[in-house]
Amino acid sequence: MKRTVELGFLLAVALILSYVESLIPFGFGIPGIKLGLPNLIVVLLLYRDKALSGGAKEALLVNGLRIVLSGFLFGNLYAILYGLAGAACSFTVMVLARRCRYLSMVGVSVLGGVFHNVGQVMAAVFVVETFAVIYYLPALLVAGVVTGAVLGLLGMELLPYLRRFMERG
Amino acid sequence: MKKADAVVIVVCLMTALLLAAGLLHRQEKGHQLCISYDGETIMTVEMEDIISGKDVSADGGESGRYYLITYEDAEAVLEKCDGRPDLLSGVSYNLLYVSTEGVQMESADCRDQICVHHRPLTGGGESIICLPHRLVVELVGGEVERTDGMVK
Repeated sequence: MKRTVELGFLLAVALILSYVESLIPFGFGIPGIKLGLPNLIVVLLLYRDKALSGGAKEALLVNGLRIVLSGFLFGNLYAILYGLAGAACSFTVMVLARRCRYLSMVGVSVLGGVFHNVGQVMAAVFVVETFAVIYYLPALLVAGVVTGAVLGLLGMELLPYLRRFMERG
Repeated sequence: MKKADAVVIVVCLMTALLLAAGLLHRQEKGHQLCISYDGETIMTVEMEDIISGKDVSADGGESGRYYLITYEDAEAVLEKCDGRPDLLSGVSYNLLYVSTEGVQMESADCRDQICVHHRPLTGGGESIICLPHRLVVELVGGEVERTDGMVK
């Protein structure tokens, strides 16, 4: 029961971050560039357990629900489609990266940001049926690195608070 | 923040840089002009080659090149001309004019004249079709212009 409350709470925070993200104009005219704020919650969930393989199931649940809900609330069907493609790609890579003991939250978050964009571009190639979308990829990669690094640093600061908060119940 | 994190960041940035360089290099190739008659391709040529004079030389001092397509016995014959060619009467034809402005149908003796009134082709994926003569002139390759199908 405690776990359900905890995940519900984090899902709510992730949804709020999705909303905040949809309000902030950040994109420089390039489709697909986003701050990736909700990814902060995913990274935090992956790092909440001290074990290297912990938190994947919870993070998957929260992330999947977050994309579908925020898609219906603030976006459209295409936002859900692109979001799911990006998240599937980025989530797989982050879970694997989490298991690598040499990486910290910054590395995991950067990989997540980068592969989120790779996944989105792949989805766009299939939907629009043209490779011209590939031209956005370099800019999207750089954006993924920058936002990923910032979110990773933020996550490192927040993690002790989250752990303490969850232990206290 | 660990050492491996820095490695990840550097590798990602390098990939982006290499990708950008590769894509920019590829983009320079641009469009190809493709002419087909009755579903069969009769000519494919790089737009660059036409404009730079590699495909047809322009002795007449004209900035553009002409491609004359004539039809005889259900066959299309293509002729490259460096100036405006003389047209024979009684032979049905399409006269294509290619310049830096784009590709346009200069004249034709087809009955509807739709191809002649078509606006010049400039971007990849555009085409002029002369239905009465079963002729398709197409720009392929390069960056395809699309205004729909993208979300933020």
